[in-house]
Amino acid sequence: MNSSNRVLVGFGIGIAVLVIITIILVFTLGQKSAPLFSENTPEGTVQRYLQAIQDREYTKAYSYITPVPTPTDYPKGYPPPQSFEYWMQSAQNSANTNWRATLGQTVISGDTATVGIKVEVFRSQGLFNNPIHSNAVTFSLKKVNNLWLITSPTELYWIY
Amino acid sequence: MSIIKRVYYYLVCFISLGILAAGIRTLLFLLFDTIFNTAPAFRQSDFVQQQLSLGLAMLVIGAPLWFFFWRSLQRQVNSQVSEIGSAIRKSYLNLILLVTALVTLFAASNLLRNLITGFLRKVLPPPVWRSL
Repeated sequence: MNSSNRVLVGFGIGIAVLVIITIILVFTLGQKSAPLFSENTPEGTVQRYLQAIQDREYTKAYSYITPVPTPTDYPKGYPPPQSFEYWMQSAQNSANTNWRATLGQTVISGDTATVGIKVEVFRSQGLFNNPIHSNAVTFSLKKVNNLWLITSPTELYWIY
Repeated sequence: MSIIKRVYYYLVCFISLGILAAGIRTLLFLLFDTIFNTAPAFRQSDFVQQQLSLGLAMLVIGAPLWFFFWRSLQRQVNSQVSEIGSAIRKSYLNLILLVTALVTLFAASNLLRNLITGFLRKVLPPPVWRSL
């Protein structure tokens, strides 16, 4: 066997080892998920909101958002910006996107809180582009009747 | 080998090598992410599986295609010494070197940035490194 063939065989063996190790690790270590936080914590609210969006339970997801007063000067023929119909448009556009969220820092200050999450969106765009796009999103929450509700962001721009 | 056939073979070789390299990159990214990303996902459905599928699909398509065409070209080179000096072969090999050098440059830059950031975070108190 000449040196060129030896390099090719070594390359092939290296790829095979990479494939086997990756498959084994992905199906053993790659499935870890954060435990479900209590519902009356800021993290629990954000977690359930994200879960409901991924499960396409939009009514449930919308129930974790604080009702915001609707402005009166929105254009006629369009749903008001804070309405369920308006929010649904952005939620449905994100339905086919594959993403995951990782919990960051939570800061509670009286009746308000912020929960930082890192959102990674999988989007394959050509050979040389990174298919993973990362966004750092900070959710602001407000305590209403002993429940934490999201005040912002109320749109799902961070999934796109 | 005719010029058209030579161009076709090297072009397919270049594209299939690109697919193969992208597949390896995707799998290596997934491997390192699985090992070193210790933060459990807040929520993920088939995020990891989709990356794995893409990486494997690229490998399954790219590797045999590149191997077949590269072997054919190598056979031609072994039987006709004049093939070694062809302008198309030289261009192909130089293009591969150029792309490899550029990718290595950007990867090394990212690696150094991450190492420096990690080091600063370790040795400096948070208010200081946040202000940098």
